[in-house]
Amino acid sequence: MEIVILSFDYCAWHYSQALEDFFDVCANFLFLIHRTFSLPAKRINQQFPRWPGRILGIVRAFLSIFAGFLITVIAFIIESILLLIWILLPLILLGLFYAAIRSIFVS
Amino acid sequence: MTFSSLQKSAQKYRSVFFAEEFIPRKRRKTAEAFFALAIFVLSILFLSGIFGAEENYLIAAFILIAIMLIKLRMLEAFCSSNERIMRESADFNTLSIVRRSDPSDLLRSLILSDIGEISLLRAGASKESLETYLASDRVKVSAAQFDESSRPFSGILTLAEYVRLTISLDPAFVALLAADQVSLKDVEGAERWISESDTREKSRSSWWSGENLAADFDHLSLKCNIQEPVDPAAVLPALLLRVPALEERDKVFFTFPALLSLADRTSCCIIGTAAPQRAFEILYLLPSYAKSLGDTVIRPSHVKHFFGKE
Repeated sequence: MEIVILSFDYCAWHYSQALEDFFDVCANFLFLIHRTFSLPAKRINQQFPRWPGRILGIVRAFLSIFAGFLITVIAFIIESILLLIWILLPLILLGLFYAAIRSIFVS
Repeated sequence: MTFSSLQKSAQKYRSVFFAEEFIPRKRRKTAEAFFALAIFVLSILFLSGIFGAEENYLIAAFILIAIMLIKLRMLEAFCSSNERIMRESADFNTLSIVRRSDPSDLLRSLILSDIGEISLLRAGASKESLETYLASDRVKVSAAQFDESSRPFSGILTLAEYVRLTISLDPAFVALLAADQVSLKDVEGAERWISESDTREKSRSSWWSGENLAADFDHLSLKCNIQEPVDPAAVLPALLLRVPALEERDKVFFTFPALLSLADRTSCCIIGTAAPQRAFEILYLLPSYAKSLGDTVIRPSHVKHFFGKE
């Protein structure tokens, strides 16, 4: 009986709270990328008080922001794929189980 | 905070408790490690050509092990997610004891529970004393007595508080513990240690959480339990504080003024609101950010401004 209740509660969680948690985790990763690659203009001014250094700083900032943008795009793609897998996961597991049983009984 | 309200909360999360009893967390982790190793070994065998695609049984075994591994991870995610939600309104360890408790004899249920027994033994009580107590002609601590004594408490009842309330309702048991040179504070400390070790371990394994991903950057979030009921206008009498970034790695007790002077010494700012729920968040900030905000105690609105969320 408890197993049945657990199964129902799990299914309800899989398509409700789990999706919310998934989006929270995605937000955490995007926050991490933002913190790693963002370089505010104020810090460039502080680190490089003279113009030659500031130009170098601007180039570095541009490269850092571009890398951050690229990684953000890759992260979005991966997160979309993972979201699709999560939504289809029960079907995927059923399919895998069928494939396993078929492997045993079909030579 | 009545006993029946705790039981209702426990009932709401019965699936989580059942999952924990069905396959305990440690056993899940061991099984996951075993299945992951099996998949790794089978993959190596397939890739190296020792076994080919005609080995149907091995392919079936590979797929079934992968399914088991995925299901175990899904169960772990289910339990972690629900425990995290539960923590906002109730203490997992408290509810796991309450769930199996007999309302007419709370102390016996506490002593016979896993967590209760471990913490009492850890605090210094002997197994013989506990067995003697249970076998003796004793006064039973009922849910009604518990409700009466827990009336001043609102918000989340931690495990340490639940144990202290329950034990203190039977002076004979307190005397028995005293004979083993165990005080209520020792028991509370043991309970707190168990809860915090548990929380710390779970938090560490959730490496994708905001707490962990942001921990190396601007703040470390520390949850502190206040020992005494808090008057927001008054200075807090004592704090239990963990400060892993500093030299003091073990648990230490500070008074609030000492905590502020510690903050001055390390040039950090502390955010806290003396909360009616008897717990508040201390955010340990980097000196660079602290300087931009000044050296006074910061309001939660500053947190929202900086982190983009409460």
